[in-house]
Amino acid sequence: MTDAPASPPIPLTPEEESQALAAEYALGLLEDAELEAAQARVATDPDFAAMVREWHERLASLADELTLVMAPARAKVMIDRALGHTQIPELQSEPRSPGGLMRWFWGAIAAAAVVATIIVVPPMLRDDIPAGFQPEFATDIVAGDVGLQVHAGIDADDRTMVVVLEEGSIPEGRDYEIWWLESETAEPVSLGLLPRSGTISFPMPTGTEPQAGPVIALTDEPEGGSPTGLPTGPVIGSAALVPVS
Amino acid sequence: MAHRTHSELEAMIGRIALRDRAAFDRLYDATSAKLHAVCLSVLKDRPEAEETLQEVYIRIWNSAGSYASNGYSPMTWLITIARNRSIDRLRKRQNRPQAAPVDAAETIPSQAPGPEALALRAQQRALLADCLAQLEDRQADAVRAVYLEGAAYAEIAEREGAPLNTVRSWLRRSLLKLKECVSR
Repeated sequence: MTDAPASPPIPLTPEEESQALAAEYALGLLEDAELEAAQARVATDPDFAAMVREWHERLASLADELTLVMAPARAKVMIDRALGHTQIPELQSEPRSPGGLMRWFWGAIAAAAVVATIIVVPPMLRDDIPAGFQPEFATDIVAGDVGLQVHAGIDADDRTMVVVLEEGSIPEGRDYEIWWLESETAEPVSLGLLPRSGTISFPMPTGTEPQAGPVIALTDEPEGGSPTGLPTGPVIGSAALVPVS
Repeated sequence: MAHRTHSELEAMIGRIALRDRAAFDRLYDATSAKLHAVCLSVLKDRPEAEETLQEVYIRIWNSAGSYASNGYSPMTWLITIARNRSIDRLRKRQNRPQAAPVDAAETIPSQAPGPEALALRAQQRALLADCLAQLEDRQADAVRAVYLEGAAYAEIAEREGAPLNTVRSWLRRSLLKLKECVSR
């Protein structure tokens, strides 16, 4: 490589130029003005962004050549400490995986539950709930930070649930998914998507029983709902079902 | 470290987005030895690699919520975060300008995973190895050095005793050849 090339190389086509640039960006080879230009292009040019992503996918298997190296145990301790994860002793009977999820959900409830007990009003006073609907259990979910208020009620006789978007709106391109959280150890059950306006009523899914106590939660999901069948986005709000007096 | 499938890892990341610490622990158990190896390969320094690994998992915890929409296969997403963090640190140590877009893997938007993201990993690995073998040895070595050790153009140029622009030109062509071969 000490000799200069004998003849000037054939220039790259514009397509090759883009691909080469995407590769260099993905590999971290660009600096200064070229790096800034590529960064800007990723944000505005979806084709270029896809090229960069494909380069990451293409080259990632190179990492499989590496011999695995266990990290010392203190590394995980430091991570948990940095994230404020205090060690919570696991109950013997509690399955490990839903436990953590539910602890988190139940943590979110604590704040909302107080509000729910104050503002639940007899649903019969609401003019947008279907005629003949006689709820035994209901709750109100209030998410002040996004200006959202949602009412949910259950008619135990025919296992019908009604969810009303009372205030607020759902951002374009997103959906709010409704979840049933029966207990701290149960898997969340999807009840469907919050309507973009007005009221939705549906039969309660198998595995859910009308009762006071379960929590109704809303999460922010991609359009069409969670791609995994489990909540993937942040919780917008949640509240426990209470008896309707 | 148990072997985990693509969908198991995706499910774990989905739960981490919901602040599920048990899922975070499982992901750590399943992937930390590999990500630690990536950090070590780039940084070649145990304490620095360990510190970087901590940053990587803190980043994973904090940005798991954006994973579902970014179109990366889970292992690529994790490896790319580890590699980018390590290269960022390497460049700082070398007093070079930051070259790795640290959060690229977390912010690049996408509509759907590309076909390559869905391809089986073992197949991808075999194909990439075949295609690297078709490059000249020094070119394949340069691609490996750039990916696995975070080498910059200046280092390759020094190693090869060639002008930087020459090295850049042939490395770019090597990468294009590699892509053409893998896509065939």
